[in-house]
Amino acid sequence: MSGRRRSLQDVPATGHADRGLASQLDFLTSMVIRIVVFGLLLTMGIAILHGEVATDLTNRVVAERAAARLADDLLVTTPGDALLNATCTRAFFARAATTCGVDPDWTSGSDDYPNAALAIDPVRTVNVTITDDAGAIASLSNTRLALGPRVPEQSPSLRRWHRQVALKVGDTLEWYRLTVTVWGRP
Amino acid sequence: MRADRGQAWTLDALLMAAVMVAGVVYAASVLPASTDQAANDDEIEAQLTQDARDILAVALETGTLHNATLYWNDSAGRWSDADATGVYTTLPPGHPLEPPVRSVFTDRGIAVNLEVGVGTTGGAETAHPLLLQGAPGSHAVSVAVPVVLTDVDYLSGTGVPISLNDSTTYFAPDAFPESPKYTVLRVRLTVWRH
Repeated sequence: MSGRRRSLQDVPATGHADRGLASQLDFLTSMVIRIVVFGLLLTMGIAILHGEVATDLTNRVVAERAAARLADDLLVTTPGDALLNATCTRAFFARAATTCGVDPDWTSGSDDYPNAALAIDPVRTVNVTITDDAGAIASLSNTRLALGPRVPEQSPSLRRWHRQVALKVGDTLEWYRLTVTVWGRP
Repeated sequence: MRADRGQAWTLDALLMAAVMVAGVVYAASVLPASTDQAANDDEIEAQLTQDARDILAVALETGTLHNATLYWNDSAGRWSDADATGVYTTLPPGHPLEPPVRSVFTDRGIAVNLEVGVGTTGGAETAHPLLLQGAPGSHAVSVAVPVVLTDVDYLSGTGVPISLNDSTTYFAPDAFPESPKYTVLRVRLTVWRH
């Protein structure tokens, strides 16, 4: 029997194929991890930013609903009326309980007014005004139609909602603008 | 050889990390602007829709809208004080809708179109323009309400007051000849920012 002794050089070169396969698996694994991490970072970034936008949208919804509660219910004779009732309007801004729908518990002496009357949580601040064509605060029987703290010049969470309203003064229809401003966040 | 491979992997890792961070920074800088802009546009359109609804609701309840549809000069055959085209580009002083349209929309740079729809046989509707300030933009909003006219309503504005039944030029015909009701118009208010 002839032949030389087998040596390592005679071992089939299957090691290269194994190493290639291992490299491919390694690459695949690392790409999957990178994509997952990238996706997580992106999602976290969006969640942080989206949270800010969502809060501002909430204040807008709060302002819109408060304005609806005033223009369609508390300041009119019958819910759904388009014209304001002068007595109800004056009473709301004068913090006087009337039959117009303002609960006496909400009014004078309460720190929660007008938040409680407008179903707004106490941590938000609300300002309500009725202005004329020129933008000046309107008055009814010496009652200034403005309620709430002064609106800040700048507030990232500040949102406003307007309603166009009208009062019959004698035979004349007077047009006004009701504005509800909400700022602050829970 | 192993050192070369190690360096290659390290460079690869650094490059991928830089790509990921750049991607997150880019997304963070672009996304809030587009989200805020979209929310802002939605809010403006929603407010315009609310303003238009409020104007029409108050005008309907107080009879102002009814009077506006009757502000017709029968002898001239067009809206009172309108020019030769018969359509307003600005509501004249004295027009029932002039105060709210001017203070709520015109003075704030918002364009307005007012059209009065007249039903025709077959269910279709013909729009008769009352006020036209241009072609509505892509973010225009539109609100419509019905206005009922009766045979005993009078055309107002300039000229001798004349009842609808006696009018020879009013744009809407008597849709209910056998009843006191004359017709039902649809007043459509379209507003948009220039």
